[in-house]
Amino acid sequence: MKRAFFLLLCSLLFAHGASLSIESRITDYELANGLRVVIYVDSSAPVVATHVWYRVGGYHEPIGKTGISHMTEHMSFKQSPAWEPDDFHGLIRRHGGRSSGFTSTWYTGYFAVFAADRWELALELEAARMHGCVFTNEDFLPEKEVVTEEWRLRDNRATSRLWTDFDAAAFQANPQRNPVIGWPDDIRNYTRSAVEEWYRTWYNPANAILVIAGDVRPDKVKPLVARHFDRLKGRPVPVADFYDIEPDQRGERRVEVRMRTTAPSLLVGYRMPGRRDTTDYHAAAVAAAVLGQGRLSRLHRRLVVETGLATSVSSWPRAQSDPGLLVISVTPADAESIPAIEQLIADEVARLGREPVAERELERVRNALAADAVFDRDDAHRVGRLIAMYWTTTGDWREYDRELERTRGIGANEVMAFARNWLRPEFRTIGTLLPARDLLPRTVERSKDETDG
Amino acid sequence: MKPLLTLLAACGILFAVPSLPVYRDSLENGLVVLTYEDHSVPAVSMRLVSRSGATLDPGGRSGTANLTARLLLDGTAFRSAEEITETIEFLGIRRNAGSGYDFSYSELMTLSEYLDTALTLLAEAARSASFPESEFERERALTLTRARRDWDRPNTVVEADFDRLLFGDQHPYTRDECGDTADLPGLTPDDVRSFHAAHWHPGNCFLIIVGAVEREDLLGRVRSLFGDWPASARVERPTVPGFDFPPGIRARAITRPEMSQSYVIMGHPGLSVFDTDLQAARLMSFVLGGSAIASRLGESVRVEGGLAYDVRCWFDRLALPGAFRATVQTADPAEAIRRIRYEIRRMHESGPTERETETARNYFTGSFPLGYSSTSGKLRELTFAEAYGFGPGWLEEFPRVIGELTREDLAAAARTRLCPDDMLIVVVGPLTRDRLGLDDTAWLEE
Repeated sequence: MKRAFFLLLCSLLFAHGASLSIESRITDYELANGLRVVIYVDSSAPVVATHVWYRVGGYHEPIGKTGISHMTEHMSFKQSPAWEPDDFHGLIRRHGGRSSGFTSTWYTGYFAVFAADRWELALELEAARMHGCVFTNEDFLPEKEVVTEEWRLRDNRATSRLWTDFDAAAFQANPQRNPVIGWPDDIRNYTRSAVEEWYRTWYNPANAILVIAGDVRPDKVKPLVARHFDRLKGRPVPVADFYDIEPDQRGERRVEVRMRTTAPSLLVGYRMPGRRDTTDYHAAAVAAAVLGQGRLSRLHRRLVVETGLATSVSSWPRAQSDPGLLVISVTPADAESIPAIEQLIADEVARLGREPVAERELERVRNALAADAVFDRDDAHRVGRLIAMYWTTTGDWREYDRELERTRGIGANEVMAFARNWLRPEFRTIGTLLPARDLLPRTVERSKDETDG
Repeated sequence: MKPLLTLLAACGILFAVPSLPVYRDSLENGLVVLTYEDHSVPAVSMRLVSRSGATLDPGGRSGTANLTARLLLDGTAFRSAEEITETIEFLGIRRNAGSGYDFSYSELMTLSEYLDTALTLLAEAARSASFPESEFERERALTLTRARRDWDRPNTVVEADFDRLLFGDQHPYTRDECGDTADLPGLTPDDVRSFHAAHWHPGNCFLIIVGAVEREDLLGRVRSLFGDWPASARVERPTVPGFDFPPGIRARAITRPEMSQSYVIMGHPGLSVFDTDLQAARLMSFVLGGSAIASRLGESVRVEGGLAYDVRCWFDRLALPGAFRATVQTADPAEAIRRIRYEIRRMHESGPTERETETARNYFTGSFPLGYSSTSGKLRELTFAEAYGFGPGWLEEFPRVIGELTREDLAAAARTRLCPDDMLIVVVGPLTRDRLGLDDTAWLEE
């Protein structure tokens, strides 16, 4: 039996290639008003997921208005001609559906999942959200308090606070430095009219993608889409492009967060290129996998198995569009281990730029990417989400297919070149979460009376 | 299972539930095999479940069931942990394992072409896991760190305190499913070896396979790998002595001056997954607080009051009777608690409206199939159905059970299962007890 396993491993060749593509199941077109429509057919379950995503998020927000996209997302559930005030979720539930909204640095997204015999309701509701949201002070003031409470939730979580401070240190000019929920003072200063103006600017068909994924027939879907969305007017939206805005980094940056914690954390982020630097961008994904994805990864072996300095480690590329960070996240065994962990990470990163990665390591990474692509397709809702995400971050959902093939095509020399160019000590930001020395009361927050006006 | 079409008329909306390709077979040694054929992608998921979970952790050794499951694939009589990991990661197979209170599991997700490889690994692990010392130390250290990190989160602090006060120190629900920070350092490889020997055998396990397989063909493969696993009897569920829950309102305030909001948990004893009014109670609690927006608690605390981002309530769904819990995180806990108590009392006294009942019925029946459209959802629902004895027809039975519930059923559950006058409240935050406005309360010391 053992020998059979060995032979299997040695002879393994992935020949998936074209079969990994989602393109054959897709109908893709654009309405006259600019709305991108993508229909993805998967009839394995009588379920349809409808996604509408807008190209607006933390990236598009000026200083003083951080988090306003997130606040707009909250307000977009309040009132429109298509549902009774505050009844959006109730209406969805009465029809046996599930729905939600979310905001990120790059996009604001909404989805609803229904049984295949009643999914058209999602089109009606999302068309109304796109043009007909009503913003009143009666809704706005309590909702601003809700968002403030959401901010406090994150503020009380030690790891959330570490990520906030880490991003603010790693980026100086790129809007990725701001938390998606916004800085607390900006949240206090939102006004109803500013949120409505934000909505009028960014929510329109020319700035959105509609994805219908599941048990549908494109010829039946098209007239429904036309019925709900053709009449909406598309408008050009401002172009936000800060791809090259970040100043050169001239040395390592460190940030320390001290809160009530018994388990320290360590984040190490190296500058990595954005999507426009194609080869290095995809090499970063392979480098991250070699370093810290899976138990066979180099950092897992060194930090967890061989030395026991850490209990877990993982690494991934965090750059959806603009240049970003290759992040290595470590849970140290204890705070005293952190200097030794940092040294071992530096050693392994330097080795990546010095020696070509073994073909077998690359094959492991390629096989995992191919398998994950198949697993992704297990759920039409997830595929719909990927289509919308790639469109909002790259302008073309086909990047999902292309990225997979490009990443699987990366060779040892390209990983080494990437490591030499980017994984340098002076391009590094290090964040640590450590136990607080003193647990001090919070600075008094301003009262509601001061913030509502 | 014969194909059939269940049509349910639920308040004007027809919920069609087509027959599902789900099969339940038993091997001669007692191993139950559940198969869900789904050929939509060339992949197969397999989950081996032991009907023993954290409630069967030996005294002072919480975390044993969880560590046993998590280490099952880390070394066997035939292969080292290193060899298994090499195979799994090189073939792009995903692994997952863990434990709840009532069961524990180990699962693999693979491309169809490696079905035999994955099934062989799982069978070898189930039958001959060796639990090497080095792997045990690694996994225990990881689990201990995660458990410690959990304690950094205020919700863990209030939940653990609430459970201890409600169930008492000796009840299994007072212990963390994954192991307490006090117990984990004392566990040894022999603890998991003993647990494996006692709880992972064919009479106490079931195997779920979801994906691109044909039942007959699959059964042949399963029989060849698991068929001569020596037969055994099912492990009895533990009997746990009841616990006293004194009448009245009791509360504890844990002062954390550095926090910027308070975490609140309030509730009282609930029910068991085997209670006949389980589904009525679930729908009733859904109306009361099943969502931070579209529920009575959501309307009052979040939408009208602007007091919190999240507020909700639920009944634990476990074999031993659990708790009814309502939770909220807010800078104004006094007002949030007042509103939550008001809504619990209102539901207790009057039950839901017809319209609320209809919404809950439609939501549960309509959204249920959405939950198992993915492989992970199928594994979750089939595990639940088999572990608690509802059977493989549960996926099709569920909408009918829900569709028959009336407003009166939900109102009865509210009358018998909600106890607005007997409540335990635990708060952690930047406050002292006098700020909570609880005049009718017996205070429990921190």
